[in-house]
Amino acid sequence: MDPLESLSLFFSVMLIIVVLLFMGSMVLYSLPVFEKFGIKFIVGTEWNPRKDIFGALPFVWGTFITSTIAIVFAIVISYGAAYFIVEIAPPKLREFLSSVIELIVAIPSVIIGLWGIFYVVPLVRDFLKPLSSPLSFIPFLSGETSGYSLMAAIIVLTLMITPISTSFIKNALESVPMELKEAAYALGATRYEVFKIVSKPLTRRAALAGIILAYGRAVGETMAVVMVVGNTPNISLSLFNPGYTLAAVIANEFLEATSVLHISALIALGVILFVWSLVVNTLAILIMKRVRIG
Amino acid sequence: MLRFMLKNRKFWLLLILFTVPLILMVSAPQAITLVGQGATFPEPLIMEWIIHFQERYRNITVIYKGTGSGAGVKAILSRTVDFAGSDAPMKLSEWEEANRKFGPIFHIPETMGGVAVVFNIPEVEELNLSGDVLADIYLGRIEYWDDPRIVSLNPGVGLPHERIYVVKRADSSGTTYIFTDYLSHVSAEWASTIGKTKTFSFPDAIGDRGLTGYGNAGVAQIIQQIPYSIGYVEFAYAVKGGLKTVALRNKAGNFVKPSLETIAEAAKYALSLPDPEESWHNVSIVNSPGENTYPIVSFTYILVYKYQDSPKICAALKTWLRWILTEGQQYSERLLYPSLPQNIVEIGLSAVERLQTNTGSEGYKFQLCLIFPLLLASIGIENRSCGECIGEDN
Amino acid sequence: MRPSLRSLTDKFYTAFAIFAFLILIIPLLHIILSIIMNGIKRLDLELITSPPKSLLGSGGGILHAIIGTAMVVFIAMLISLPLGFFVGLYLAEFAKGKFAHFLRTLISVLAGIPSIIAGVFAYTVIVVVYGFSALAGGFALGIIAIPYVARSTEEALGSVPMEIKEAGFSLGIERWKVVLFIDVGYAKSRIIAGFLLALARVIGETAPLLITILGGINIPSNIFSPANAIPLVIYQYALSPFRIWHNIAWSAALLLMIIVLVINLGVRYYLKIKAIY
Repeated sequence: MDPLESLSLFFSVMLIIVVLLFMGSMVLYSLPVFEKFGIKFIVGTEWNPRKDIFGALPFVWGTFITSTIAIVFAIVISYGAAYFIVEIAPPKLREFLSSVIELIVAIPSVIIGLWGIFYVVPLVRDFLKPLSSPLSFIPFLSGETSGYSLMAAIIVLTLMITPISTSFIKNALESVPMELKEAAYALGATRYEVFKIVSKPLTRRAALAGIILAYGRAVGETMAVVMVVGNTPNISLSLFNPGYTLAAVIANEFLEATSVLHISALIALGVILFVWSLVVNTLAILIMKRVRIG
Repeated sequence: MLRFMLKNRKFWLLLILFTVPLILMVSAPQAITLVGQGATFPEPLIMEWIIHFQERYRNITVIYKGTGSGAGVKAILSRTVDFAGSDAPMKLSEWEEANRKFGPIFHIPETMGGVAVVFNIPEVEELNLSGDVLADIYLGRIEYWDDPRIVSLNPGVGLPHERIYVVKRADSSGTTYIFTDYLSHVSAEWASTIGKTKTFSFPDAIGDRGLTGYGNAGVAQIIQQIPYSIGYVEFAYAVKGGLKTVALRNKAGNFVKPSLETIAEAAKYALSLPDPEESWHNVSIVNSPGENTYPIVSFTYILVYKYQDSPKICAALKTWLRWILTEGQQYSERLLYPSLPQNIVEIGLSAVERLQTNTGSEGYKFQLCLIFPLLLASIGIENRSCGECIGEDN
Repeated sequence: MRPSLRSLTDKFYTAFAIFAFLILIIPLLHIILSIIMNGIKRLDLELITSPPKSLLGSGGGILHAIIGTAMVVFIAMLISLPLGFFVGLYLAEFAKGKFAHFLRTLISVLAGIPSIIAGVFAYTVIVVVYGFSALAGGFALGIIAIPYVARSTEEALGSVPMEIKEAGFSLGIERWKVVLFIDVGYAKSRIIAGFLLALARVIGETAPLLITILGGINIPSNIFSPANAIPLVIYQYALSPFRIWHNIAWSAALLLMIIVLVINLGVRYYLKIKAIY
């Protein structure tokens, strides 16, 4: 083995050791809280650091409801926006528009959070809540709000993850061979029908990978969420209520934890979050791998 | 390959680019860090102090996070901070527990402040209330703004027939402690049911009219946004938030609004304060006598360990505490906190002089205090309290 | 002719697509606009040359955060550039079969870590030993940056045409020399672009810094001292009740956006010049 190969092998092994150390220490530090509460920790509904009672469900719920609703919005908007860029916009503008969409991804999340505090929170409080008050019998839209809410978190999350899935779908749509589309046009299909019958099925896997990746981003997003979600560990159906997510509570409470069990609980939440992201990202990779072959 | 690397000019350039700054950054003098946590009551003043203190003492970094008095006391009890802030003096049981583990904890009054009762009634600018009426509002006995008892205190004011939204702190709060201490003084029923406490639940009679906010800032925000609400916040937050304040009937029978002057009056009646090495759990200056005294006033304290582990931190703490008791006080009034009367400052300074270092030990790292027992706990070893785990064995 | 259902659905979808695009673009424009409009107020010399000053005055600037960001990013690059480069090199040139697959999976795992968790790791490894420090923050950001550097290096080296490699071999040059000088030389611009993009990526990260560098007002001179950073100071000031600090937060956000934009556009321009993009 030549010197360069051994040097790079050395670094690679070092990296492997670091990552394994990382995962091992996280699991180790989360053991105490699992020892005390058992597997019930994951579905525990009460989180009260002052009484040393910890349960993960409020955060699992918050992460789940915000990410899921955000990705649903993202899927709908992405398809439309990608369709627009590829099929409707003049070809010369295409590159520019894609760059603009990708620009959103580059905005640091704390800046989106800053914008969220001063614009989205008042939007939810002064516009969306009054607008939806005739519908407030629906549990999802009930209750008063200060603006800091699951809904505000959903809005910023949607904004942050939609460009990701849009890029993927756009790239996939662009790679559909022109001959196939032209054949469909020649048979008299409308632009939408070409999309529905030709492009969509062919790009299904790539689009799915992009969507899953975007979902993974939503699950792990910390700053923008912690600045607008209200940081209250309760499980409520109403989106106007404040909530909490796994990433947000770790960021907020880690420095102020005053008992060993508290830190263990927070790290345990980190393990849950980590596993969740891992599963999501692995899924995306598996799907993408199939795309390359297929 | 090595020979090539040594001869190549670009390689040397890169090496210098990376290592020179690194060497500079590792060898530069290290700052001493003081970490504190606790009350949001004095937070704006402490922030201002830190800025000016930093300009004067460049090698001491002070960090303070407003997490609420309850969190501050908890931090002191688990030794994860160098000092804590609390509006409420430590409970006797808490103080004795800390005394056993770490030695005496000093209460050093850093400033004083008033708790303003704030309200949001669009139709009304000025409101008078008495202590027992206020207590009954918080007990849920008085439900509407035009209740006869409120009306009788405010002749000629057109109070609307609206439900009263009652706001309290969601977190464990010294501001709540001061407020409930006052309510306990003026309402026998409050004293016997809820008493003075950092956190309480709304009585059932409040029903759905109860709202909660985090920190003084949270409560201020709610009052700003919800009409017909009433709440309590530290005075500076009321002014900054543009909130209307209640004129409260004081012990002498006058209706007094909170202001620098009326709040500062209460300090005159802080006649005897305990020795720093004793518990301060009985200290209270609410409902003080005096024609022009605002009734809901308190000192806010810095809690600090008498026995320090590290000589450097001990010296830095002394410098910081001395500064805020002397030069720091000049910034108080501009931020709407009355400056401390000289006799109180003297008491504080004498306590600061008594800070001393445990001989021998280099110093604990408080983060170690949490992670190390965590490591032990994760492999099944019983975790012991922090003071024992690091200090005494060395 | 009566419009058919098919052409109606086509028109409807077109309208929907335009609508969806607008829903995406309009908030983006609003964000950019509000950053500019709110941030321009305090985008002055004082912002970048002064540490925080009295709340009763202008509030000072964020010099402490700028220096802190420089220190933290420097450490992050110190950790991630060599590590990421050599791992990417190994994957592109030397690795085979199962080990390569394992290594790539590990890189993907690392890439998917939520940034706050990288912060927790840095806390348990660095903060516990050295205290809250720029070193800890740099370590966390370094962990986050490694996959970006590794992937872009691997991709860059993979784009080297076989003819160039073969030409080197045919001249009798040893393997490692071919890789180091010819392959890396060919892909140099792309590799450097990868470095810069990783830098742009971590310069805006906040979550890991929250729990590793402590965020005080001091101007750090030593990596073992606590520090502040531009994204962190934006967070702190945004959450404070002081209007003066809100203004500074917007200006700091504008500054950060400008830095990130300059790096991103600079990289694109650089690649265009090298006739690659």
